[in-house]
Amino acid sequence: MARRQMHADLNLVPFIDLFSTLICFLLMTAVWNQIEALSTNVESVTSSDSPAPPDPNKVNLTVTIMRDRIEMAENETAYKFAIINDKLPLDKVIRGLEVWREKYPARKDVILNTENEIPYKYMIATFDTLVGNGWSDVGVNTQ
Amino acid sequence: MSGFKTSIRRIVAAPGYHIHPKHDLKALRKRLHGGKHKGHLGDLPLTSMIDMFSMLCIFLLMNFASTGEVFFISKNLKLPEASHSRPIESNPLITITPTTVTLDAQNVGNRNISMEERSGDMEQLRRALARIKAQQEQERPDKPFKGNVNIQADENTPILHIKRVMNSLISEGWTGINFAVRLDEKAQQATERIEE
Repeated sequence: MARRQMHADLNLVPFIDLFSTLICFLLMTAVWNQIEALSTNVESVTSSDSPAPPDPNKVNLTVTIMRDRIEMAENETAYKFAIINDKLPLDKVIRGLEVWREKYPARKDVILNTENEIPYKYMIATFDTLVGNGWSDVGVNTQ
Repeated sequence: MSGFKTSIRRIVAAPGYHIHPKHDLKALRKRLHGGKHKGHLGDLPLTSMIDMFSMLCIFLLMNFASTGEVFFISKNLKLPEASHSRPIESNPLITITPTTVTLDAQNVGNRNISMEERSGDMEQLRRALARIKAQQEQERPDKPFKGNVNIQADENTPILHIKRVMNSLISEGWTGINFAVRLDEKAQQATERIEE
């Protein structure tokens, strides 16, 4: 007696239902813009606060962005890097930060000054460079 | 008489295929509707569709992110890029353009605060920030006020506008300022490769 041949087809309709639902959900909740943040913590300057006296021996490390150059300064000593064709000299800034790292291995704080007319992206690009090279405590000067 | 019977039989006969277009696809009709060799031409090929769905699902699941969804970015606002940023948290959001400053804060005393400041002294913004701060301190009296706020601005906005808002924030005690940026994935991947 010949055995009856069986055709066991997989029922694909539930798969399609599941995938359709999942794809709709994922498309609706998808985040196409990856938004993140660069943080700065500014000390409060309200009148009730009594500011701590500045340490006279502490070297102030500042990076100043101007329209035509970036200046890196330790107290009075400053290094100037020209901005050519709207391109920030960030590679030179990185080399300067490496020099600072050798001189001040424990330091993580640096003050970022900016001229009022420069675009916001310059500040963020410099801020990002500082954070990326181990200077995580970046204070933005608002004066 | 016999001629009459024949005519009746003709009237009640089952109708056959009677639509005759100009180009009748007889071969296709035969394969679809009968004959000894009934083909599977009418079945939809589902395997390739499921393959496509699977790949789409995997792609969307890989790109699924549970953070960063709290932001409304206007079409004309292009955020600057950064590669060493960290995930953004849900805080009151200040959007800065050269002409206006907009504040959006959610769940402030079970309601949302939204305002638009057009004056240079930021008086309205200061009042709204003070109100949010008071509300947060009232809701969590045992915890110190963190004062975290997110700022977003177009990449070409002059820094002057950012500084003006930052001064208002600092004067109201909002000292945890986060600058919203777009993640520069290429630069981040390049940095990771160098570090490895």
